[in-house]
Amino acid sequence: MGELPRRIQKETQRLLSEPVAGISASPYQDNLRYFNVVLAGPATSPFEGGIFRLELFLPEEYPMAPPKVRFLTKIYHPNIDKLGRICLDILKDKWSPALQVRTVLLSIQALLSAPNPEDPLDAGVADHWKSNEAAAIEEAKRWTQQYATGSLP
Amino acid sequence: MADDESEMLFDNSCDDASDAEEDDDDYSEFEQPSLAQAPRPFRCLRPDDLREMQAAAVKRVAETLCCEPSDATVLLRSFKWDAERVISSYFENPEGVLEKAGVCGSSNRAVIDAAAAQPYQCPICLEMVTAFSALGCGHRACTPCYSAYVGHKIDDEGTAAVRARCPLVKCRVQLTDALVNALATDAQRARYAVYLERAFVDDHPRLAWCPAPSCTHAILMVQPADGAPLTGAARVACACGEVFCFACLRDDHSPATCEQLRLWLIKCKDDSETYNWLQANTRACPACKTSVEKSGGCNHMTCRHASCGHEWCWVCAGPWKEHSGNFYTCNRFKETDDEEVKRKDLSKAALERYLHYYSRYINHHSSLMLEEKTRQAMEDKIAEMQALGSNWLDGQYLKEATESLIACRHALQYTYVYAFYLPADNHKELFQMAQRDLEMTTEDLSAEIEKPVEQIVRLTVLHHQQMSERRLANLFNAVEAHRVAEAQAALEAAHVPGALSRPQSQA
Repeated sequence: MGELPRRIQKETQRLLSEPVAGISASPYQDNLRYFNVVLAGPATSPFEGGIFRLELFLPEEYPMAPPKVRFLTKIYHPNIDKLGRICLDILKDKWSPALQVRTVLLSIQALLSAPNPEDPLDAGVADHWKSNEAAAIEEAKRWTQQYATGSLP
Repeated sequence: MADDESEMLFDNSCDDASDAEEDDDDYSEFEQPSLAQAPRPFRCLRPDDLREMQAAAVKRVAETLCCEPSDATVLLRSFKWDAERVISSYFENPEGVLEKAGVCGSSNRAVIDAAAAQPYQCPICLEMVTAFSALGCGHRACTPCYSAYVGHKIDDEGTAAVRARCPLVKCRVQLTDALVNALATDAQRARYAVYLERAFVDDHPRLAWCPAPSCTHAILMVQPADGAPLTGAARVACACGEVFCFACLRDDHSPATCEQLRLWLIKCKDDSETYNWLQANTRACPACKTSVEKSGGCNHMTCRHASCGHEWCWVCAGPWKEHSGNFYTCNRFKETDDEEVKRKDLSKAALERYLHYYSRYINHHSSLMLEEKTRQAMEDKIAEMQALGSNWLDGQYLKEATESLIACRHALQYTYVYAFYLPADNHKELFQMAQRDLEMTTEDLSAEIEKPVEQIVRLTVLHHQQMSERRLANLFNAVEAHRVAEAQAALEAAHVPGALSRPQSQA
């Protein structure tokens, strides 16, 4: 892999110097395209109070191709599967090179506030969400308390 | 549009369009078209014809709407290349049409590699720059970034590149070919041109690529006079010799329908009937798991498989020695008896029925596989005849007879698919009579031309050939008449006034 493109350098600098509230993203020292992400569950969502770890990787084609993002902390959400993969349009066909790591993470935070069981990645969770939303939210809260422990760095 | 098409088409012998059918636009709305499905007129187009046809449509839209050709292309793409529909929809609702297609109005032109008065931050590389390119939406990015974006779409996203949009978030404006061609490298431009052509045929509902490997032709169906959508199977022949069904792109499968063929191929593939029969009629030997069929006699089974020899009870599958010779007391016997027998009989009958049709289908199919060999054999025979003193031209009737034979076998193969899905009624009886007649004469023809050269009688060959052709036509007529009658009955049952003007959707 060649020198780190200036765009990635600029994005990284800004992420570190002007962090977004409730989101921390910092690159690993041995691979500056690989980010350790910590995300606070949004208020008034079933994930409130939870601290979620994610990994984010900027592929060679970035920013023409989207970053690869995955939850490392277990989460009960219809658009996130057991392996932590995320179903979000901007990470796939709606990707635009004008999006940034910052905007991607904000979109993921928004997805936690507004689950979309109509476009599910995990069919089981989505069915639960559609058939009995209250119970599904309870389950999501339980998972948040059990797994999403820790603190923002 | 029909007129534009007819100018650029090259003649081909497969083209059986009559002049009357070319007058697409000249029809009365109140005229009731006949329910009978005449062979659909079609034309075979070479890559040059396709380019001309595309260019003609673009020109028509660009001139009528006074827009850039590249915007006309985007508009046409979103309307499946129906130029007239683009124009009429545009005049009804210009803003709506432009927005839906992702085109900017003519007042907002794309800008390619211009210099901005003030430096701005490129949203892609995040540098302060002055050079920029933008589509009509005005979303700027510096030219190197824009070129990288366009290049990425072409290199990494295949045909989807023709639908690529402005690189800015959530902007729906489509990249125009003018901008792409200005920013892409030579190699990318060439590939983009291929994608555009491919997308043209894929998007156009009356165009389909010839499925033959390495054939670059496409088939254009002439617009039906009643404007009805294309439905159902349609046999088409490409100039390269490939004969196929326009609707499903598989081998020409008349008289069977596309759906029948699809079901049939699935059935043949997973061999599900055999499986059902095995399920119903056999049991696995408890010791070696070999399938065992009980062909009669008592329930004392002795496995014959290789060295197994296990003795067991058919009813409870337990070891026979526990039955101590008194199997009538085996308690599960009575409960399942009736149901079981019925299930076995049904399953066995279904399998036999399937095998009946399948074996005949596959028989003609494998004869056809030898098609090339048969053709070669005929060439050899004609050469042999020449050696015996007749001239080359005299032998040509054998070639024609071979082609007839192949056509008959081809149709016969699919008659078994058609018959398999027919309910047992009068039509099936009649159809099977026509099928039997055709099969008989086809076999006669086959036998005659396979004789040694000195025994072949020209008149006999011609007689069998004519009979075969006539019977083939009879068979197709019977199928068509039945289809029409069924469509008519469905219409009458539905009592839909005016439904006759759309016979295809009812058929």
